[in-house]
Amino acid sequence: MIPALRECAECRQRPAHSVSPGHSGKPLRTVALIGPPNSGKSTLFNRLTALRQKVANYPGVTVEHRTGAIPCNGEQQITVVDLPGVYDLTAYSEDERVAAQVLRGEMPGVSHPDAVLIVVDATNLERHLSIVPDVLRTGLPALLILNMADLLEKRGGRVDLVALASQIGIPVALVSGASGAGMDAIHNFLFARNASNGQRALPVLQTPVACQRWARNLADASGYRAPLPALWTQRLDGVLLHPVWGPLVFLLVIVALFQAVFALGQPLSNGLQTVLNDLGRTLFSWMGSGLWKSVLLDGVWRGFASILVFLPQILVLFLFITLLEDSGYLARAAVMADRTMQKVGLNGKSFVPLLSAYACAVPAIMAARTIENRRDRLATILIAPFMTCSARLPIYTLMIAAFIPERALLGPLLGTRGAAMLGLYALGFLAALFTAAILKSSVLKSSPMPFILELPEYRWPTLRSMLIRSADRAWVFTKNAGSVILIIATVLALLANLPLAGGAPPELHQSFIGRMGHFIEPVIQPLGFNWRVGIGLVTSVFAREVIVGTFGTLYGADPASRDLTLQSALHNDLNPAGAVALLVFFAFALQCTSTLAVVKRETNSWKWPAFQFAYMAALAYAGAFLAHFLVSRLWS
Amino acid sequence: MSLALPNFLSLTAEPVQPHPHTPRRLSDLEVGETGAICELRLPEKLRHYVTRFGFVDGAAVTVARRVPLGDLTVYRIGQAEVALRPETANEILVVRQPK
Repeated sequence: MIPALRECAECRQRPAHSVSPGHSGKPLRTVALIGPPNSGKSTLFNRLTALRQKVANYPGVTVEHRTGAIPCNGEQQITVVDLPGVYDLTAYSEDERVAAQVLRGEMPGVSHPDAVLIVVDATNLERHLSIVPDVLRTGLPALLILNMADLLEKRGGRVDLVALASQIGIPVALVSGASGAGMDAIHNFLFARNASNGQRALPVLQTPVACQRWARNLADASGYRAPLPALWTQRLDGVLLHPVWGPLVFLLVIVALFQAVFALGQPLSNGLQTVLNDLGRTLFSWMGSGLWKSVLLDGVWRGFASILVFLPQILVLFLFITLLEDSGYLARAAVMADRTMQKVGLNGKSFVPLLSAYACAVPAIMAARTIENRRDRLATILIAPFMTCSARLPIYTLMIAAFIPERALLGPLLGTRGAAMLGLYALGFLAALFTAAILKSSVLKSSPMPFILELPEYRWPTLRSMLIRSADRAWVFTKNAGSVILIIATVLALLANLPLAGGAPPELHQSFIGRMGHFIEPVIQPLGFNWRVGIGLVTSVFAREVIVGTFGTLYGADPASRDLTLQSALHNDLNPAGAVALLVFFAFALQCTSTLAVVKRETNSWKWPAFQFAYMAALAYAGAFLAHFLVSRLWS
Repeated sequence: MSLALPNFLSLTAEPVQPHPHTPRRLSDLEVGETGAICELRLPEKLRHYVTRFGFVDGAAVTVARRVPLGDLTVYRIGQAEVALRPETANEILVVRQPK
């Protein structure tokens, strides 16, 4: 414990009972939290509000609106609005515009803040102080929080809080969001109401350069001694960004991420699926059989379950990514991946979202939030579903097993089936790069903002912060995607169980969905698909993996194929060209309502998910058509 | 400021060292070298953007390391380490400082 951290400079200056100008006597209701990127603002926000958080989007923009509540004894609780990380309020970026609007009370739906907490990195004071003048110009009572006090202390830096506070005329607190030291000072400011909106004569600083100079002078005048360079960070970077070891570790981290998702998340997901299926059957066993049971069990319950089964994978993936992010490694991975991403007009920051998309596009699209440039973020969101997610694996394995005989290609290392699977992974990846290149050279072409990435110091991530953030993302996913899925699942279940034949649900191929399968047969015939595949395509709009179950139902109901395994039934029913076309179709098409729901949420409009669905469907159709044409030529 | 002739134009036997105060591109500094920024040849908006990372006139920048698998370089500026692409570092002129 560092004793100096427990004091707030302003509190030391004034007697505790002193009434100061500003919001004296008036309890704070809403407080804004602002600070530059990498100032440890999120960790501090999590520590202040724990799990009492709400996430939404600001109206009309993609910027996230995060609020939390600070509880207090017997008093009205305070709402904290976490503003996006910005260096100043010049309104160049969407983030800056949003932050400025909230502080001025011009953001619809967000009450005008009564005070503002300015968070800066104490180890980087000369640079981070330049946010202060812009914020103080809003006239709100403010507390300047010098975060990362533990690092400043450990590395021999120091700052005179009293001098700094008297220079800028607002209270200053030295805290550590990671260890929790010094948080009292923030609570004092928020609840003791002895904070002042004191007299300060800040110069009017027009240019960022002037702001920087002012910040540097201010740091000097406050006896700021910058900490020694982070020795451990330099040593670690010596290995992790080493010409040979760097890429090797990078590769290992990627493999570990896949392993974590597949070896840990996937079995958990499968287990959960079994449990949920059994639970569903037990829950609805009293209903007998009939339309409503089918709708409730196959529709509502299955929709609910299909969301929940993703949760283990999402949690594992997000724990892993948060670990990389909080430790500081993510920035190193991003700089190493930059060249590859640059070739398609993106930059290193898109790398991790795209990597995550190999597990599931849903968390990947949420992970794209780390990309500040709106257009780059949108492009990343739009190409993420091309990556081969785990929901494609059931149909891939089924079709490959049914149509490709296993033969060794590279001795025991690679067989024909493994090669086919790799080919499908490559196909999705290439489609993503191709789409990114098109988007970034047309509709999403961005102004040539240079790619600048700050490499933060390596830190031990705190389990608390990791858990809070992963749980938060998992909850957002369940809530938002869940509501959309429930509606679609119910509609699909109704269509699969109507019209009633003699008071009972019809056979699947006579239901509305079955009729739709027959109806689209002429459209999909050029791809080598028959009406059974058509029904599979219609039902799998809901989720890709559903097609395997649908095939099971269809071939199981047909006397001709009842006694065959699903593989043999498929083998008899489709020609090789049609099989390849079906694989290509699944590599490209966006059959995942969870993804559509999350894209809608992240882009705050239906325009992008609609475009994405249409584009991927067109590509899937064209690709499958071409595949069918080529394979049938080659075969004959 | 003085102009230095490239070595191959030199008529003397001794190679001519560029004058230490000749501005050069940040991207031309070697790992471990430090330069003081003297000019940012960037359009207003981009200049504003790099300013936030501490790239202002007079600031000392040290080349920390080259990033593997690409063309990025990590620079130490103030307390921060920042990775730049060469196309950005080309437009930042520095005067090399003695170690």
